[in-house]
Amino acid sequence: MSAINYASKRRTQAILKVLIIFVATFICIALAYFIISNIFGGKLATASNGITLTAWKAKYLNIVILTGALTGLCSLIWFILTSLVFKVEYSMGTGKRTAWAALGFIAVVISIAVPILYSNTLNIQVNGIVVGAFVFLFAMINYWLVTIFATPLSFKYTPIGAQFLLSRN
Amino acid sequence: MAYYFLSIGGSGAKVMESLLHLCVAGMLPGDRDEIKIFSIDPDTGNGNLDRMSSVLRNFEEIQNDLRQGVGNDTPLFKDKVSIVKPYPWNPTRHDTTLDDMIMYPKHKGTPIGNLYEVLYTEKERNTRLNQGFRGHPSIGAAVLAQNYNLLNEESSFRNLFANNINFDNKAKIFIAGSVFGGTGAAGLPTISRLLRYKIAENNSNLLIGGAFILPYFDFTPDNHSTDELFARAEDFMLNTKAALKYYAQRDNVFNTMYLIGDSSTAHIKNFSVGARNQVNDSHIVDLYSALAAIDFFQNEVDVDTHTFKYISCNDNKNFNWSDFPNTISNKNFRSLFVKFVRFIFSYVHLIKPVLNELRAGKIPEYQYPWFVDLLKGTEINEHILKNFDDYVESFVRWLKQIETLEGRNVNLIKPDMFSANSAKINDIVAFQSCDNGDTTLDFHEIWCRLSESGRVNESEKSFGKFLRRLYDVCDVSR
Repeated sequence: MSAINYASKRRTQAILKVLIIFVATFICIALAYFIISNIFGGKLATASNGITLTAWKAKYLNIVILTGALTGLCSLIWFILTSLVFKVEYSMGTGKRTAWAALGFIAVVISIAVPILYSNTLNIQVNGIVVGAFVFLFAMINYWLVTIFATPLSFKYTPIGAQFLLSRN
Repeated sequence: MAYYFLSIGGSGAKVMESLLHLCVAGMLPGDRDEIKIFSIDPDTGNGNLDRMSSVLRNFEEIQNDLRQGVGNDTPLFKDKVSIVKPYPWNPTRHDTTLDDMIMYPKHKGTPIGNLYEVLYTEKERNTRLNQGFRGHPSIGAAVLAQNYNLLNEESSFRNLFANNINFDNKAKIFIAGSVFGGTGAAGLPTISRLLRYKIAENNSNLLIGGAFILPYFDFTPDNHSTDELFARAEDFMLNTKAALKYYAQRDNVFNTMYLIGDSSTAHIKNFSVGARNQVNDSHIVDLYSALAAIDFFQNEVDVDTHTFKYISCNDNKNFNWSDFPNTISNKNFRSLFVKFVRFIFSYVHLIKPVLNELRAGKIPEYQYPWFVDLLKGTEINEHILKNFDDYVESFVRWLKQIETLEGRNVNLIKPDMFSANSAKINDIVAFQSCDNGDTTLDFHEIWCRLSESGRVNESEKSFGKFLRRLYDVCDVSR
């Protein structure tokens, strides 16, 4: 394969992977909003000083978008680091799993802290199930699973579980 | 078409080493060729031959597995190298003198015996030939001719060549040796004439080419060797003149002659009469001679023509790519050679330091996608791995010696980029344009390409396949 072909193939893959990140973020936001608000919205609205469900949903949407955007950003930062910043020039120190795990930790923190802190600011109630759902959707799906499929091939097995899911071995 | 290479003496062995590396890089003409290698050297413990022999044997043992793995559509390992045994062929018996070889006691007092006494000094007649012909081609010529005079089916000399050359429809044999030393100077005219007139059953099927290596080094003998018979550097030019005059005046059996030397002589620091201590570094002359062999193999040669070829460089102080032939086997020599160099150094720098530990499970394999995709689960024969590693070391050592020419610059591959004797990259930035060319390729890009090359079914994995992938990703063509 020529140098141009390699570059072209890598460019196409990069576009696809960035698309995956954006689409996954959108889907996680949509799921977090529609599922949680439909199942728990009524109860949580009542608990939030009796505001209407519509008003609760509008404020809840802000929490969801912010959490989704920040965890999506973690995935995007991981993609940028692995495609533009990290260089493999020696045989040792190639995995960068520490960096991946650090960003994952940040995604978990965001998934817990944003609903708790931002809901206080917006004067609405959320519960432990909402926080748990956020961790699952935004940390597990929007960061962990997305990075498995959106990591450039030179670091493709760095996310935990990637080797199991992507390799036939 | 069958290809044969015959190395005569220490200089021939050094050419053979260069030719081996060019063959491993796939520079013989044709798609899948075989080259049979002969060696003639009475100094069987010769350091140059010893070094070459171990590289050659190691590689010959593993090449079948590697060739199978890499496939038929790549230059890498495409040329099969076969050693013709006995290797090397020793025309003398152990601890013999010229008197022993000629059976002088039988002829003493006869006219032949008297003539022999006139032609050879007592020192020449009584010196043991274990360390070669001591820079005296007259000794070598007599020994080699005597070997053929056995004229029976059991003659090892006859069997060595006849069984191979006469079996093939058309054979090209390339002989390399020095014209200023002992073994080469004796062997080149003697062996070629025996091949042409005595051994080849059908002369029209045999094409003979030769690299006639002119003086390119000198040395100062140490004080311990004043009583011994040994080659003297001050005789080299006289020997050369005599040899070239011989070829000019006698019936030329060579179809193509390549005259290769160097006007600046390299000084050999450690003098040795012969045996293990006679180890001279590889020289750019060896590479030119190996390229001459490939030129001979790839060109159409008429059995009735006699061609003399020479090549010169533009600047006596600098050797550049423009000083070498443009095309080898209808491919660009530079691109083929540099791709092979990148392949070797990628293996040295990225793969070799971690491969054994990965196989043993001592380091996390997630860090090495190429291992998971291309090697995991494969049984890699330890012998193959060790021999390939040894070959890689020998190639880097050879390249370093070629690049290091006293007082002059060889600007093929950046010499400061790497070190040998435990091959290592010293400057990863220099590696990017290792041939001082316009195209660049760094280790990160090689890593990315290798990781992107996709998974292989477990049943198809092999070390050879992996090396093929590594070789392919070292391509810089646009």
